Parts: sequence; C-alpha cells; structure tokens
Amino acid sequence: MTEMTGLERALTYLKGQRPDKMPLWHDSMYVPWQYSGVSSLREYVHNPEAIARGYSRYIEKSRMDITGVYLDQWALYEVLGAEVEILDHVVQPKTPPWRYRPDRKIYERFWKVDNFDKFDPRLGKRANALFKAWRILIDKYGDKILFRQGIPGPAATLALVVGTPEVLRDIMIFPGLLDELREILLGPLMDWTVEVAVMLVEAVDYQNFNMSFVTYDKSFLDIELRKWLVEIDREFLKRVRDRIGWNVPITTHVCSYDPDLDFIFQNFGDMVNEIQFYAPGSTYPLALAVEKFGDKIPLCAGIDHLGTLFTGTPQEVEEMVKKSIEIGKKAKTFALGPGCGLVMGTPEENIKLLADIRDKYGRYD
Amino acid sequence: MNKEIYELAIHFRPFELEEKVKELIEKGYDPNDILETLREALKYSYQMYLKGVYALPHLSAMVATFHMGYAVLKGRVKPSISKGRILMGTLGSIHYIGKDIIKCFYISEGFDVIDLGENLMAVDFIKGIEKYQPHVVAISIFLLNALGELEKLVKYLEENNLRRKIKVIIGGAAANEAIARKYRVDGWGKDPDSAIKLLYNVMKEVEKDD
Repeated sequence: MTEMTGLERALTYLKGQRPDKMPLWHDSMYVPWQYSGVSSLREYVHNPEAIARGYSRYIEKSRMDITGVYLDQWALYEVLGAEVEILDHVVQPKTPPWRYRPDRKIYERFWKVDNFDKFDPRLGKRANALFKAWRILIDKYGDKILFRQGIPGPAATLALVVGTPEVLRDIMIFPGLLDELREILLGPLMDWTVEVAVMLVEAVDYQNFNMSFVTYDKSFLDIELRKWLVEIDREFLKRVRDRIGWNVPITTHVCSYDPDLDFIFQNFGDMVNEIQFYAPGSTYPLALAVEKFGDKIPLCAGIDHLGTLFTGTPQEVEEMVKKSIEIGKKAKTFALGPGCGLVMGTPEENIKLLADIRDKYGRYD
Repeated sequence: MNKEIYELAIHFRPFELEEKVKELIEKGYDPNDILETLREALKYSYQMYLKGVYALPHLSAMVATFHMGYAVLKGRVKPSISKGRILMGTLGSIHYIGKDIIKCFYISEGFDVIDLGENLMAVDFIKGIEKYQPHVVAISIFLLNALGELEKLVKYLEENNLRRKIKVIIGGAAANEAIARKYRVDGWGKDPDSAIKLLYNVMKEVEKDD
C-alpha cells in the first residue's frame, strides 16, 4: 500500500476502514506554547502568529496524523461571561462568588444568548486569536493532517461558563433548577452552541466536528443524570448533523477516568464516526473496548499520557504503545491516542517516539 | 445526633441547615453533636456514592451543605480527638471540589485540618508548614503544569530533615502511582476511601515531637 498522508489515514480510519498504518492523534495546549518562543502565557494566548508557530513546530516535531489547535477550554465562552485568570503556567476560570454561596440567579443570563450578533464567540479576544491561528494552520497543513475541532454540547457549555462543580451542586440543592436548565439547554443555549459548532467546522474546512462525551463518566454523573443529558446531546448532534451533513465525520473525546463507554456507544454510536477514550489509565480496559465495540466502530486509545508517557522511559513508552497496537489490531480499525491533551513537562523524546513506534509496529500491510 | 440537622443535610438543604445550626447554637445546643451529625450525613452520602447511587453532584451538594453548617460551628468545636494536623491545598490550579470532599472527610474523622486553598505553589505550602507544623501535607493535583513545585516542596522537606516528621500525600485527577513514585511522596489516594486509609497509614509513620 502506498504511503498515505496523515489526513488520508485519518479519514480512512473514520470511515471504518484500515489505512496503511494506524493514525496517530495527540494534541496539547501547553507543549505548543513552549515551542512558540513566547515565554509569557498571557501574551501567547492573544497572539495568533505565536499560536500558529507553536503548533507548526509541534506538528513538525511529532509527525502526528490528527491533532487539535486550542487554548484553554473557556476561550469560546468569554463572550458569555466566562472569566479566566492567566497565571505563569495555567489559564483557568476565576473563582466566582457563587462558589462559596449558591445563587440560583446566575442561570438567568442564558435565556438571552440566542442573540448571536451580540454573543458571537469571535468577539472574545482569545477566541479571535484562535480563529486566526486556525486559518494559518489549515492553510499550511489542511491537506496533510486532520485537525479535530469542536465544542461540547450546550450542557457542558453552560457548566464551563458557570463552573462545573457549582452546576453539579446547584441541580441538587435548588428544587426545579434541572427543569429550568432543560428549557435553556434545548432553547437559546442549543441555538447558540449549534451556531458555534458550525462556525468551528467551517474554520477547519469541514474536516470534522469533535464532540465531547467527557461527562458520561460513572463517577461524574449518576445514571439518571446521564439519561437526562442524552436528550440534550442527541438533539445537539442531530442539529449539527442537519447543518454539516453526514459526509463530515464526527470525532469524539472521552477523557474520563471512569467512562461509561457502553452507554456512550448505545446512545451515540449511530451519530458519530469513532470513540476515542482514555486507556490505559482509565477504568475501562482497551482490550474490553476492542472486544465489545472493535467490530462496530473505530476506536482511538492506547497512550497513557498522565502515566507512562509523562513519567516513563522511552523503553516503557515503546512497551506501552506496542502492547496497545497489538490489542488495537484486533479491531476493524484503530487509532493511537492519549486520553486528553499532553501535559506540560511531557518529555519531548517520549512524544517524538510515538510516531516511530507506530511506524514500527502499527502498519496494516 | 440531631435528627433535624441530619435530614436537612442528607436532602442537601444548605440554606435551611445553616439557619437551623444558628438557631441550635443560640439555644445552647452542643456544637460537637452538630458536627457529629454532619459527619454521619457525609458518611451516608459517601456510602450511597460507593453503591453507585450517588455521583459527583450529590457529593458536591453534600460538601456545600457541610461547609455552610461547619462555617457556623467553626471556632465553637475543636477536633474531639486530635488525631493529627493536616495541611491541605490544591497545587497550581483552581480545582477544589476533590480537595474539599476529602477535607470534609478528614474533618469528620476528627483530624485537625488547615485548608490553604487553591492555586498554591511550593512557597505557599512551605509557609503553611512553618506556620502550622502539620503531620501530613495533603496535596490535590488536577493539572500537572506545576509539578516542578511539588519537587521543590519535597526537596525543602528533605533538605530540612523534615521527611520523618511530615508526610506528603497526593490525590486528585492527575495524581497516580507513577507520579507519587517519581516525586518521592508517601502515597496517593484515588478516592475518599483510599484517601482516608492512606492518611491513617502515613500517620502511623509520622515521627511525632508532641
């Protein structure tokens, strides 16, 4: 088989077929920042050229087939009122006053967000820099690799704006809040999130849409809440599909520690093109996922980014990836990937090694 | 145990509970008994969590309820049995929910807990150690970006011959055995159950002056 480009490899995998070799996905916010030449994180997140430069170096050094270009999780929500603090080593939400004393009124703002002109995410400074960086990188690498691109559904969006622990707490302590949130999530916030999703798909020239299922974690939400959320997320995916069609693949993100993969597959398997999840590292073994879903849907996993990749020797990394490849070959098609973004301080030699190990063991021909 | 407080707590009614605690305190009710009640409610929620009936929303609500009640009690109760002094905090990020859940359990187990908060660097823990002289430093790690600070903290303890007197334990989403080993800490906990057992275990190894 002739050598495919990373993009061809990724798209073949997402069609449920075997490419020349297993595609390799990984991405990171902080590793590209370190490659950008800009030491100040505050400056970096507002500078599209620096973001594009950092990711270009990351892509060239790492030779992955699939990546994603992003900043912090809140960049798109600045316009909805998500405030962050930017420290020397992290971008994170500001501590809201309602952390210490629950306040039901904080949810009222979401009734108004369907005024898209007023709430266009590109009005946010970091989001604006991101959109510009995406253009630079798609022009440079868009025919070579696949850029995962997406936004979580409206429920996760609301949680990221208000604060996830606070929303989880509030639905338990305020009677009737869950019903009110359902109306918001299926109403104005659904409209906003779908609009942003389409905008993001356009930003990567319709390569894919990435959907996060991180909340479908057994320790995170109980089964009743997981069922409640399915209605919202299925409606979201349906409306995104209505807008982008079925030719654009939907990639996924399940970076949980206790993922309910059976539930995810059962409820969303018909709407997405793969299931990416964290293994080894989570409670769901890779071999079990291959056994249960490997003949039904493409799977992406195999790299423990918080354990072996972060702390292990190159030999240990090779052993881990080789073993994952052996398991993954039993699936009809398989991609190698970590559970989530690579963390700052991950040894560069371990990152670079991933493509070499894949080339050595992960060929299908 | 106070039945009214218990019912309000297990049904996650923090505002009513706060009022009830104030009322009881004004009437001269024993604050230690109220704390014991909150402890029982916390244990009940955790049992439900272990059974898979409850998940993070219930624990978050329980922690908020516990905190709002404890805020009224604080200063009025002393740990009944001083089992040990624990310094807690989140390393380098804002994440608090896991740390707060474990904190409530440690308080309810009778440990003297000092919570330094979040966004902490090595220097913050070191200042805390100098001020409070804890037996154990319990660090929550959600992001690995500040792990260099953990190295600095452990090094400080080693260089000052404090490793036998002060144990360091870690927990949180980004903590694992490999990180515990690499950074030479005394153990890691993945959930409340293991965090409680770990604390009791390391407390046995602490070389106490007092």
